[in-house]
Amino acid sequence: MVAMEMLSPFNCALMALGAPLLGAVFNGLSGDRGARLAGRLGLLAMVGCTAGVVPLCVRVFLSGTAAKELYGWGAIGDLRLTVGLEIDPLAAVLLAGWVVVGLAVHLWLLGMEGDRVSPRSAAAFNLTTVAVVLALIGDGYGSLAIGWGLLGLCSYTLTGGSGRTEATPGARKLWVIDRLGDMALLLGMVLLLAQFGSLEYAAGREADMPERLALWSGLLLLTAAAVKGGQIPFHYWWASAAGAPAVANALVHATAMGMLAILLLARSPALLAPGSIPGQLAVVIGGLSVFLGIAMALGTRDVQRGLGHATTSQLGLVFVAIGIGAREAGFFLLLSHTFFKVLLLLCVGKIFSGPGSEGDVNGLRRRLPFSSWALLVGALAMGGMPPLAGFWSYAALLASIYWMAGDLFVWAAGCVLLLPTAFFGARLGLIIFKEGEGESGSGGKGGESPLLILSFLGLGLLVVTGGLMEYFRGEGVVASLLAPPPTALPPLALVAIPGVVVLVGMGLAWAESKNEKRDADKRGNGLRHFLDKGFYVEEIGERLIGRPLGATARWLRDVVDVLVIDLLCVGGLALTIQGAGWLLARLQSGKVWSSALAIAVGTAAILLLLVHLS
Amino acid sequence: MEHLLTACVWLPLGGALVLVLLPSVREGMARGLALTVAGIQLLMVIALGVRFDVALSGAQFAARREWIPALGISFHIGVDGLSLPFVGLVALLGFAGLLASRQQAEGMRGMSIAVLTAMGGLTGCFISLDLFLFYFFFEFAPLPIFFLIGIRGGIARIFAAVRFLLYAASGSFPVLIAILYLADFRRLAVGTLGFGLEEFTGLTLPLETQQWLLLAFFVGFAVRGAVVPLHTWLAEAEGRAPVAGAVLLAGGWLSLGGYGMLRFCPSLFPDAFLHFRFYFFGLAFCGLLYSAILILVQRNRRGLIACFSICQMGLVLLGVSSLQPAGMQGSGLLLLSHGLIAATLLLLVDMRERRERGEEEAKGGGLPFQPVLSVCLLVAVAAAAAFPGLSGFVGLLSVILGGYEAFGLIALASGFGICLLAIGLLRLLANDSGGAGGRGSEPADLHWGEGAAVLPLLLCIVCIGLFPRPLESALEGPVSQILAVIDSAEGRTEGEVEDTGEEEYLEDGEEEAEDGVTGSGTASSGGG
Repeated sequence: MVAMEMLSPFNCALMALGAPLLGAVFNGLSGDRGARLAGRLGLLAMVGCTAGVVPLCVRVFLSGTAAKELYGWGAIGDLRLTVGLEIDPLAAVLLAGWVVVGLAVHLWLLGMEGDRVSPRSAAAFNLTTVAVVLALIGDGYGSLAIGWGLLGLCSYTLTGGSGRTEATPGARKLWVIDRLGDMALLLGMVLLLAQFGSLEYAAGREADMPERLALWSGLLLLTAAAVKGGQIPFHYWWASAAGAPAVANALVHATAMGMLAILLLARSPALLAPGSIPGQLAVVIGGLSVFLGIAMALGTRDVQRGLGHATTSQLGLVFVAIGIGAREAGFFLLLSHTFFKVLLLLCVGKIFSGPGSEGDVNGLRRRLPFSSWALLVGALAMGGMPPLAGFWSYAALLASIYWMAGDLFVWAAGCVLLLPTAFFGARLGLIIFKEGEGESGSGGKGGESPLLILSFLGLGLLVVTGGLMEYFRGEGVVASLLAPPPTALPPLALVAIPGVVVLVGMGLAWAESKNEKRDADKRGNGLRHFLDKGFYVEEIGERLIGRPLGATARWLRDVVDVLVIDLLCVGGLALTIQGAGWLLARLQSGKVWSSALAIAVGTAAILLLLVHLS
Repeated sequence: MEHLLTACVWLPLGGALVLVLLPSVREGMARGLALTVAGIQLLMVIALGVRFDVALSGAQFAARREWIPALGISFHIGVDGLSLPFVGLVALLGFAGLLASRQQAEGMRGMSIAVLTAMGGLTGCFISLDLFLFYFFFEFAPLPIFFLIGIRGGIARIFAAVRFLLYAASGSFPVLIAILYLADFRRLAVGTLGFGLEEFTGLTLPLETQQWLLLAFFVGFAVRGAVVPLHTWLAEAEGRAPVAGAVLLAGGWLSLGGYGMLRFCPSLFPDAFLHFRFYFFGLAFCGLLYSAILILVQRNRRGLIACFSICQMGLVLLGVSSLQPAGMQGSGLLLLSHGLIAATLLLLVDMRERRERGEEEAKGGGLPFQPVLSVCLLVAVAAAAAFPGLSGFVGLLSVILGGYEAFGLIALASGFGICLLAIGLLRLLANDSGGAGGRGSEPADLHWGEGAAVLPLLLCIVCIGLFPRPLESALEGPVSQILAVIDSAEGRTEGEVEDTGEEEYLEDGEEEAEDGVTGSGTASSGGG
């Protein structure tokens, strides 16, 4: 009985939140003194978080949504805002997934760097967990917003801001774009508050909402989610994020940000109802991102940046699913994406770590067997290779879109888009088979520690069996895929056709890798540059917004502030007063004639006034 | 408890007087004495806060003593939910400023005197319930701040100080005239001369007179609040002043401007305020965008903080001009949060700059890494950039909500200004420390005195962000009183009951009776 009391949702949530928070505080403040312990402390905090999350999830799966009001947060006018817990099965699944990812990342970090983990980044990783847990267990947009804010700080810190040296330009760009997203969220929250007087998710679920308000708040929330999810046209922050360590991208940019972005959309179904303008816009933005994201990924040579663009593409699919109303399938893809992307990025972090190791992948399989096979599994899963988790989630998502939209064309278009995805995934995976002339591969020194292998094994297992687990969930999306509602297409086709497309794409990649050995492809450099630069969106933004703003700012500072206000107005006033004083002083010179003149003028003025008044 | 409140004014002034009268006190001892006084002051305010009853409306701990009976001027003080937080803010900032300026042993005595005097003057402004008493402190407070800015300075510092004083004096002159006019008007209406604040609120002046008086008051407070376009003195004053002065300037002095706009302008001149609110909104909106753009090209760190202050003051004015409960509560909250955040930023920036100067003198290989300092700075900048969960966010949310309720979607555009502000503030984080030096005279990271100065402020910032309700409930009463006056004025203009030429002295009962009628009127006009 006491044990059950101890495991109340509130206590579990406190544990899940408190442990990483403590870890972050200790690591963040310890500086270099704590460097030896930082990695272990971070892992310990993550284990503590797991200890809170597991019973919480079990409870939610067994007895449904756990909700509890905690305290009264704000009292604005007549509004009474509260803060509370609300963990529904969706949040529980995401929490469980997050815990696995977090543990894997901390294990990896410890395995890679051992005693040399930077306390600052360990703190940021713990803080990322705090952000995600907070956003997942909260019952309203308030806690989601706090999670977003924290995530922005983590992203800034990990990308090279607020550390030992001057913040990198990438960190600054991420800060800027993050603030844009947060501001859109804040404004959306203001509109919800104005309408419902509450920031709980119930507001986003409300069915009858004035159209204008639903439109505006939906658009604002969609913008916020698109910013965080790196969707077109905000995809360009990935180029900045690619400068961060791969592990930071794995935990913060590819997974946490995407998760919170999708969570925001999923929590506001009434605002993004299928068919409404924001809902349709979500589909359009998502669709564009699916296509352009994978195009950019193919266009870039940088592995991390390519993975970032691929994230744009895969989250785009989730956006489409949410916009159409296929939430289950969307979250399935989100989760499996989380697993394979983290696995991939961690492998990349291992393989390409150390200076001068870019592109040096010769003889990988011999030097780093676990990392390279894990890379292959992750890449194939991303490409949609059956029967890995990626395949099931793509197929299920496309099928759901088909059932929801009832449009065969959309489904077919989605299938076609699997081709470049498969090509990209296979191309990435195949680098492990590359054998160069020399055996001088220098990337990824230091072998593979057991912790590293454990981390890869755990994630790899999830990537391989994700589809099966989803199948055994009973009414899960994969189950529905194999026993679908009656439609024009036979059930087998919904699975087989995407599978064939994927295999074709991978075959093309295989052929290209053979081909590339003979002659290096130099064609299409212009297009590649165009894609690599993310369609120059950033440059255009800089031209259209950044520079005019800068010029205006300089003009305001130099002309308005200094010239108009200070010199003309203030200085003019001072001069006028001074001048008047000087004039009056001259009149008081004591000379008889000037006094006489003044008296004469004054008398005349008084007389004139009297005449005028009478 | 009344004596405690009275002591809040006289204790720092008395402490300053003791320091003046004991010229032989050494610099370090002077600081110790001043710190003790500020600490006692802080404890007294905390005691007041504990005893304060949020549920009661009107001023609490009120004390009244005749001062100049012939003119109806009395020493009438008291606090309500709107003024008590600022009394606490002043005490906290004075204490933190003194604690943080440990290293400047030279000239410490003069600075201690000035800080204590400024604390007394500012506290007096916030708790006065008599307009003349308010004006007395309002005029008195700039003097110590003037010394704080100009103390131990070269020609640039003195220039900044003189400019500050000129601005302040030219701002308070119209306020004096307006107060005298108001008192005279009231004398004609009721027959006796008096300056009690509550006696003015029911007075119905002709609209045109109200407009002139409102403008006079507004200019006086706008100069103090550094509302664009009356802001150019701030960057220089804040940039030149020693840290204790800069902290009181940003936290106390600017708050006084915003407090005046919030407390006096709408309730004393409701008709004129209703008439001018769109202009005020325009001014606020332009001002916040102006400063947000200006922050992009500021040359030094204190300039960035000054721009942040100007932008926040624009938001405060926006909240006031909305005349909505959410907006006005948000204004109060934002004002308080601004005081805390700006002071924290100033303290931290000063600590970092001091280390950089020490490093330059020591010619070491760059500053060592300062984990605590940089984490504190990160939190403070995040608070300034209105990160959720910190105090800046709460105020911003309700100010924009009020703005939206009053002015529609255009108010949301102020979010753009906040974005720019956040981008500009990022430069405060630019971290020049790259070496492993530490050979300067300063310790690498914050020492306990500096930590003790900054941590309470940061704690307040986080607590207000996570648990804003007590503060918001405290603000609720005063704000609803102000709005009741506005409501009855709105009812008058809508009903067109009375001619503007007549003096009318409303009883409280009548006012409340009118509220019920006019409630629907505001609700309908709020939607636009």
